[in-house]
Amino acid sequence: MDSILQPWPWYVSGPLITLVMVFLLYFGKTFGMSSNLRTLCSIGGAGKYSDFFKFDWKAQRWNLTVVLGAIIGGFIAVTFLSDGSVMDLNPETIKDLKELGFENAGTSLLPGEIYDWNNALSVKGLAILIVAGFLVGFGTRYAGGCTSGHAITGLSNLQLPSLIAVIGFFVGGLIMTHFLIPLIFTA
Amino acid sequence: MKYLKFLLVGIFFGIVLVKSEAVSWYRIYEMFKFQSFHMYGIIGSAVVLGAISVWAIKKFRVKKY
Repeated sequence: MDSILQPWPWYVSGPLITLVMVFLLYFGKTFGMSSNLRTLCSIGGAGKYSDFFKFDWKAQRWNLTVVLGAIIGGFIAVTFLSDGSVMDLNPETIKDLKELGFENAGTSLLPGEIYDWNNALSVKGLAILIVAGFLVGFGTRYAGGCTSGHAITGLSNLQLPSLIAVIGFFVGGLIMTHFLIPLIFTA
Repeated sequence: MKYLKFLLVGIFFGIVLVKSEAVSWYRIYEMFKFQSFHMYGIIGSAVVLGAISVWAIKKFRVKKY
């Protein structure tokens, strides 16, 4: 039980993610989370404005169900399957984050400096979340997938477009981490 | 109910994402700083095993895939 309550090592987690993909393939579906963003837009009536959203979203209900499950699973893991142990981050990472004004790195999944209500609802905090949400929404649809669809499913199928997309995600992450975050957060 | 299996896979996926810390903002930051192998290990092992799985599924024609 202890090993379940503690954080799982990468060599356990990675294969389990593969298992999720294999299950979905076995069910005759595919593994990709961000397609749901398109589905949600279509449910919201975006088909009136763009043909991209005119499709039979009801055929995608299975994927929305996966997302619903992931939310429930995340709640179960945080509430019942965690012993509250602090993340085993590199001390350098903790030090770098402290210099940017992020305290207590690794004691929770997300930094309160961005996601606590009083920060999220400040003008700067709200702007960060809205711009970030827009970039994720636009980027994943423009690329046709996110980390699950391109990095896991696409690369497993040896798809060159997926490799290009993943390289793009990674370069974007590097730019954000090394150039933009130090500009946005200065302690 | 035909959606139950998808709900269960989703729950499993959510638990794995949290327990692996792959949803952690800090782990992702650490990855882009090249300060830990953790995230590369998760993604790398998932992709290598995934490629083998897809190859095997195609080879042995499990179901219609």
